[in-house]
Amino acid sequence: MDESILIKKLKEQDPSALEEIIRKYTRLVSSIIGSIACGNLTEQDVEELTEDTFIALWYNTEKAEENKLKAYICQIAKNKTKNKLRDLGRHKVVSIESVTAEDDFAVSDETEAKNASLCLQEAINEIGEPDREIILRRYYYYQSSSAIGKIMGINPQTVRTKIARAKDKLRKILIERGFTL
Amino acid sequence: MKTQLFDIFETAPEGIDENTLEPAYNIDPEEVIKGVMKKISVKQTPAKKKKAKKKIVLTLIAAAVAAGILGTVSVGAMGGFNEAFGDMFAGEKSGNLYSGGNVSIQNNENYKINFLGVTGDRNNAFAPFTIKNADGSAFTADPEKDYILPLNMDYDPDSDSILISSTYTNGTYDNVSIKVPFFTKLTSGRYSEVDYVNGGGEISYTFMDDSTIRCIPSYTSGIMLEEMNLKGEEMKVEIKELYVYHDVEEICTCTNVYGDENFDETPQKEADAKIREARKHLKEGQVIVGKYDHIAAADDSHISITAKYYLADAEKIDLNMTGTWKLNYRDENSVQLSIKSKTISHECWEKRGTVSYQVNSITASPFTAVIDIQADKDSERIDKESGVDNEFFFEVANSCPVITLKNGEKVQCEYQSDLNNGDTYEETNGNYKIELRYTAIQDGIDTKRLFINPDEIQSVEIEGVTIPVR
Repeated sequence: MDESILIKKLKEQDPSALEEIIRKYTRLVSSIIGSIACGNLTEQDVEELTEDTFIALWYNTEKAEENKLKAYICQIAKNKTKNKLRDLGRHKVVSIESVTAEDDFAVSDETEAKNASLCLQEAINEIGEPDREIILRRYYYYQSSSAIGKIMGINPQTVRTKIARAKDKLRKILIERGFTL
Repeated sequence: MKTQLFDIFETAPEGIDENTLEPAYNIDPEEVIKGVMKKISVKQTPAKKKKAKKKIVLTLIAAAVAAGILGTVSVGAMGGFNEAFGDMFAGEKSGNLYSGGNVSIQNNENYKINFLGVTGDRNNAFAPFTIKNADGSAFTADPEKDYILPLNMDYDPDSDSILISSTYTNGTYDNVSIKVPFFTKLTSGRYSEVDYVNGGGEISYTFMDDSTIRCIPSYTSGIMLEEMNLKGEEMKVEIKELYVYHDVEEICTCTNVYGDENFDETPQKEADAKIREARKHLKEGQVIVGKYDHIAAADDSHISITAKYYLADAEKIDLNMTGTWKLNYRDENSVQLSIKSKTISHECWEKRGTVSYQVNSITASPFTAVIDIQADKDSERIDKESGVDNEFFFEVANSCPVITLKNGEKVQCEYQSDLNNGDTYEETNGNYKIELRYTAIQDGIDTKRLFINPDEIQSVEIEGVTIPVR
């Protein structure tokens, strides 16, 4: 089904649209949840969070827009997972890996955030490969350096070095364009 | 509060093969569909819910001064009645304390809401409250055309929440509830927020100095308690959720007279038992709410509080609003505790080994212990993964202090530290001052003892060390 039709049906609360979205994005959503969780969540937790993500989408369809559906679903999944981890964090140790990306690319000014985010997307495209892919895998999909290294055939230590350098580049670009990180 | 830029990407990145992302446990989409369909079939859609048979006049849950009532009520010991209630009830002899207040709700696509101020509220804690729209523009209510509604105040002992009620008579929703923090005791300079709705979302509070405390509801208990220091008189409030209640069913009614030397807790205990029983049978989307009426004696000697408790379906509406809340509060009421020097080792975050520190002193106040420590500098770890140097992480979640009160009662506490946030510790020349926030808990999720008066504290036991009050 075309995404625009899918979203239209979703907004009309057509369960078949939700089913199709679940089939299409379950792998992505559970991957993101798993990456953020870094082994701190059980299979049942991950499945519940995956369900919660789609339930949240069902009840908040007004924000679902064409070409932005995947990003919106990813965002819901991330938020749900972080909430869950913070909750668990009160009771047991949660790996720091799951929160390391928190403040690397964050701004305090809410009104500035959207523009800064758009600028960051542009800047990422300017830094070239493989840095672009590494940064996206690390910070958008929350993959660990080891996982990135394995997939891209790069030594994990090299991945970390590239991440550090790419971050510097991105930070400079954003600062040059008037944003404060 | 900081916004993570990667989390607000409007479009997903291109060119990444998502098949190379590690699947988590190979979650079966068909199983997810079954689970989702089961859950959404239980909940009614918003459109259907509007047709629900019963509705109650509902609730703008707001906060601030009101919470002074809560903290004291929850403690149960009303000896400090005049101190706790005096300022709040002076000039208000009967009826609804804040009945002269106004709330403005303009129900458009942004759910613009403005607290115009509460007349008759001496502390003026609700005014001014302005809401910024999602696009950053500010909303200014116009009393001539916006809906100005009478404000009522309810107390929900089950959730220890103050509900500020208003009837919204125009627009899509005629009963609305907005969750915002309440303050358990203004004299302590702290507040507490309870998320009593199962699986609720997230509420964030941001101080003007940009330090941030996030309030995250517990998914396991359905109840959440969070607290923080109030560092300024004005703070931003971000409201993420709005609730509309339907299908209301009364559970019980209970009347207590506070301020009397012969205070009888029996009615409240009986009501608590019924509420606990009702809680066991809560269905998806259901909540327990309370409506609260009080009558204060003319001489302020006592107050009669009648609470009605209801079971209701809560329709959640996501909001994303921020506002500025101006507060009045008094100086922090804290007590100094002393501790003998002792070296304690904690497990660090994963892959970080251990860090040792020596406790020099502890300052305890409601909900919070501030611990001055001397860290073993050699224990500091560089976060090689993120490339951030000199981070100082460690985990104290398993270190639950026990507070012994002067009357012999022991209260188990739960740390709520989040020490990977920079605002929870300060470092000066190797000396660290760490704020360990804790919550008094009973029976795992019961929050009857939300507030502990520092003057009542006999000692605190942390890590096996008993710290007497100096």
